[in-house]
Amino acid sequence: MCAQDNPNNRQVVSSTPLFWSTAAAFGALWGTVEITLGSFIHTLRIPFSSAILASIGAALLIAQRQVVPKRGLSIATALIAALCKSLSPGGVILGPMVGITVEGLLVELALLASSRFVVCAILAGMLAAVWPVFHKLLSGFVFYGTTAVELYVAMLQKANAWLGHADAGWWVVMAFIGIIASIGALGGLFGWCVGKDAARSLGATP
Amino acid sequence: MKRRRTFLGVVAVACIVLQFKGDFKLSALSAGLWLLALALADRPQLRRLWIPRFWLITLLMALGSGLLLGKADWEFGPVQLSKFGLEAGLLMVFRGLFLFALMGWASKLIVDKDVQRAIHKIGLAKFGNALSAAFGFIPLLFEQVRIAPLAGRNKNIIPRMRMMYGAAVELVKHAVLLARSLEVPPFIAAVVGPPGSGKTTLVQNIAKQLCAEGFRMGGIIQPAICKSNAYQLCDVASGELVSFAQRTKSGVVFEEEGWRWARSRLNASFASVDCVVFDELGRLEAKGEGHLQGLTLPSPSPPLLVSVREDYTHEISKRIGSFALKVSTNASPNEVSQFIEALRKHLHAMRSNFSPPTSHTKGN
Repeated sequence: MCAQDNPNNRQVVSSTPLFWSTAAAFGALWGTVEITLGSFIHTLRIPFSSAILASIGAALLIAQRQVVPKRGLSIATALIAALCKSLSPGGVILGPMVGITVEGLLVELALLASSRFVVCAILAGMLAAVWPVFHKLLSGFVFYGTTAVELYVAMLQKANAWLGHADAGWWVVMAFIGIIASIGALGGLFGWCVGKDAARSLGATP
Repeated sequence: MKRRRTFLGVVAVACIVLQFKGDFKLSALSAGLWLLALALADRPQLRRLWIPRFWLITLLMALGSGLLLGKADWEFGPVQLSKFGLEAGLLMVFRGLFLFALMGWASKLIVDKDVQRAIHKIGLAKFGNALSAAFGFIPLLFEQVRIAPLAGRNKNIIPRMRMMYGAAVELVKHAVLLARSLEVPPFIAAVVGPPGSGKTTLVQNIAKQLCAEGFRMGGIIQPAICKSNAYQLCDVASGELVSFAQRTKSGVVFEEEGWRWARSRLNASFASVDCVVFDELGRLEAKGEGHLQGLTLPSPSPPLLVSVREDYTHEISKRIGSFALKVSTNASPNEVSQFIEALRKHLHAMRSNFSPPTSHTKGN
């Protein structure tokens, strides 16, 4: 709430509408999870830590949409969470901030058809969890240019040669993405169930 | 500060242009220029570049490109390196160095207060407000997030999962309640009267009484006494007095410094007190100026005790929200006591309720 400079504005101090208040609360929650749990998981060097964190974020967004089913809420929440991440004591935070925003966008896209449909929730979780892999590839491209892509392809070809099969490297990559997508799917399902229960308990329309 | 930012912005654009060609020498020049600019204008940013893991990966990639890309030009025993690959690797190192340093600077720029102010100016006030509210929520949520994973400390996996699931549901509910608390407009208790009727004295007395009862009071009072034609503002919490306006032959001349002081004191009060006092809301505030200009209230806001000029009651309530309690300066002592009692009751309720105040939440 704030006082605005425009004297023609009727209300100088107004209550925050439900859309933005929900985005603020869940954005803060996601930001807090990223700052606390995020650094904890990364410090422990748990495998698939990015996918786990992305799944938790997606679960939060999906749960939120079960309680407040408003379109665009996931993007707004992600933007706020990304800016909350700026409070993180680490060094460069622009990369994670972009990552969080894109994850929100992907969840929003997946929930466009229906936020209450479990398949959409699972798809949202999968997309959000898989994104960090592409984010790394994309940031590699941004940081290092096309050389990075050439290097990845060369590494895959070497792996194919070592494994003795033309597509073996690709199969390994697909299996890796499959594991990450499964983590995301679990996150999506978890968020959907948690959201339904929270909505029921709060007396909101689930 | 702004000059430094502009300087770094110009250098950043020049360095980005130098990176376009994809030549490792130009890329090295660009990285060097940017580091020099940072050393001149923003030295702490250089310290942020100390991330050994990132640099190790970058060097390994550079070495990898020398091994894997292009024809082998040099042989070191079993290791074959290509000139093309090594040059491509060096390009990666310099580009990485430049972009990493640039991103560190850019991420600092995003959270700058001026940028947040600009968000408001370009019409994204609702987003800006939500962001301010979110920043306020983070300390409230820290404890909750830390507790959530510990809720599942049990040897058996199924009860443990159940407990963690329950903790997650509670966390989501807590966030929803926090969101709903923002929808509640501020609780406003208003003392209304014409100029010189004793509004400030009454507000001051109420504030003193509530303070004596243990409530933390803050905000600004404009004492009725006018010394040598100078108007003063008084900080309710500390009693500090500051001159903010002068009566001259041509009218009242306000000092911008005084308004700024009042704004900073009010903002500090919102974060730390049980009740904030706003005195002398009148002609200026009815137009959104004076105390209300550029003011940012936290969400949710603590209750407000305001004194309002009678003839501007309607306009002021339109701007700050309707008055939950109202008393006139010519009210009977009994009515004043009832007003104080109702305010006290609300303050007690606010204290005993956990945050967010669930008793005032709206449904969907």
